[in-house]
Amino acid sequence: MISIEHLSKKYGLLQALKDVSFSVQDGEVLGFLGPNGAGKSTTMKIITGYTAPTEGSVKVNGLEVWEHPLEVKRQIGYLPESVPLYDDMTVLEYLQFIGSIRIKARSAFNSGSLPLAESLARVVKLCGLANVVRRPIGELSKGYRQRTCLAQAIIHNPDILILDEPTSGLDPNQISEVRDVIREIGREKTVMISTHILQEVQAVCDRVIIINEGRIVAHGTTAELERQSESAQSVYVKMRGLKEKIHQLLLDLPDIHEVRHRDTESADIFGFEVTATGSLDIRERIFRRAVSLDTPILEMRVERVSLEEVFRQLTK
Amino acid sequence: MHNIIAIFKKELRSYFNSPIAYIFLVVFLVIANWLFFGSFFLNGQVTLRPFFSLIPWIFLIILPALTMRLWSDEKKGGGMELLLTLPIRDSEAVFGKFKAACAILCITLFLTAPTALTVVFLGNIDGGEIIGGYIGAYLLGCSIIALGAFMSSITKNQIVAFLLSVALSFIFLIIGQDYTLAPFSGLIASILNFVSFLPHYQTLSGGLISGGDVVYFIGMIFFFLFLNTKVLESRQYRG
Repeated sequence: MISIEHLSKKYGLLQALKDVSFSVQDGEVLGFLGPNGAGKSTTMKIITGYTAPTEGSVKVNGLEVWEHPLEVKRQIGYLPESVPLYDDMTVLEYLQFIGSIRIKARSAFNSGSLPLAESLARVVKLCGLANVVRRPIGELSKGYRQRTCLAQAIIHNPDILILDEPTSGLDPNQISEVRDVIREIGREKTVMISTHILQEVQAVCDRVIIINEGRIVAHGTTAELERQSESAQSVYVKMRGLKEKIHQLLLDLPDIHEVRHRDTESADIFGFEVTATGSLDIRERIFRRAVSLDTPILEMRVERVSLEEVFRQLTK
Repeated sequence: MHNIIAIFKKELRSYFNSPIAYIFLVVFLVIANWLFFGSFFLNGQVTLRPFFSLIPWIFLIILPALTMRLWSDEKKGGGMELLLTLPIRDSEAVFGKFKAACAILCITLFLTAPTALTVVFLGNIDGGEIIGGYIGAYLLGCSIIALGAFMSSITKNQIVAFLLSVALSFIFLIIGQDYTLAPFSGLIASILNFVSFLPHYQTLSGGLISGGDVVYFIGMIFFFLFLNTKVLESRQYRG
C-alpha cells in the first residue's frame, strides 16, 4: 500500500502540490483525476522516487521512499507519461534490458517473481506484443509503444503499479485491452492510474481522487462522488398536451423549486426538467397529477449528475 | 555489478545499433593514420612518438561526439525518468554508461595495432614507449569520456554537450603547456601543471610508466563521474 502524508512540492515559485494526503490500499485501483497541470505526474514522480517532495512523507509498504529508495523501487512498476523507450532497440531487447534489472532486484527479496524468460513470455502475451517483439521500437505505432512500456512496468510482477495516463494515444480497441490488463492486475496489486478520461475511471477504478491546482478537491468511489454533487434532484419528464398547461401542472406540485422547458419533440409533446427542493423524490407526485389531469406521460427519468459534471464543477 | 553490466550492455548496443560506433571507429582510424603516415616516411625515423602526440588532439574532437548523447538523449526522450526509477543506484547508471564509452575507446585503440605493428616491423623500437603510449592514451581517453559524460548530464541538448566537452577538454589539455604557464609562477604554475592532462600523458607516452600519473588519471575519472552522479541526484534536492 501507498500512504502519502502532507505532501508539498515547489518548483521554484510554482507550487505544484499543496498538502496532499491520501492512501492506496492493497488490491485497490485508485484513479487519479485532474486537468492537465494539476499535479498528477508530480505526485507519481515523487512516489516512484524520481523527484523529492519539498515537504511531507511518502511510504510504500511502510518504507519511506527517501530513506529506502532501492527497496521501494524494486516493488514498483512505473509507466511514465512520456513513454520512454529506446528507438534503436527491438521490443525484445528493451524488455530484456529492463527485465534483467527489475527481476534481479525483485528476486533478491521476493520469491514471487518468475525468471526472465518466463516473465518475458508472460508480458508479451498479456500486452499483445507477440507480433512485434523483433521489430525496432522506432518503427512501432503509438499503441504498440504504449503497450511495450506497459509491459516494462509489469515485467517483474510488482506489488505496486503506477501508471501515468496508460491509455493515451490508443484506439478504442486497444484502450479496452489495456483496461482489461489493468483490471486483471488490480485484483491483487495496488494500482494507481492517472487520467483525465472520465470513462476510464468509471471503467477500472475502485476509488477516485480528484486533484486540481495541487490540492485534493474530492475523493471517494465514483458513486459517492456522483451523489456528493447531487445538490437537488431533478427529474426529466416528457408529456403530451399544451405547453403552458403542462408547465402549470408541474409548477402546481408541492415542493417544486424550478420547472424548465427542455425540448420539443413535436407540436404537442414537450420535455421539462423539474427540480424539487431538497432531495425529495417527486416522480410519483408527477405521475398522480398527470393521471388526474389526463395528461399522458411519455417518458420520465431522474437526471443523474455525471462524473463529468462533478469533475467540471470541482476543477473550474 | 549486475546492474552496471545491464546498463553497459544497453549502451553498447545502442552505440552499435546506430551508426555512431562505426563512424567513430572509421573517422578516428582514418584521421590518426593519415596524419601519422603523412609525415612518418618523410621523417625517416622509426618511432611512434608523433602518433601518440597526435592522439590528445584527435581525442579532443571526437570523444565528445561519443559521450554527448549519453545523458542528453535520456533527458530529452524521458528515458531518465524510467532509468532513475529502476531499482538501481544513480552511480551504477553513471558507471555503466561510462564503461560502454570506454569499451568503444578500447576497441578503437585495439584497431590501431596494425599501425603500431607496421612501425615495429620497420625497425627497432622501444617497447616501453608503445606500452606507455597505449596506457596513456587509454587513461587520457577515459578522462575525456568521464568529462564528456558529466557535460552531457547537465544539458538536454547534444550539441551543447559536445561543445562544452570540447571546450573543457581543451582547457585541461592546454593549461599545463609552457605558453599558458608563462604568465604564472611558483605555486599557481605547478598547480596548473598538475591539473592538466597533457604533462601526465606525455610522461606515460614517453615510456615512463609512473604510478603517480596513473593515479592522477584515475582520480580525474572518478572526480568527473562523481560530479555526474551529483548532477543526477540534484533532481532530488528538496526545495
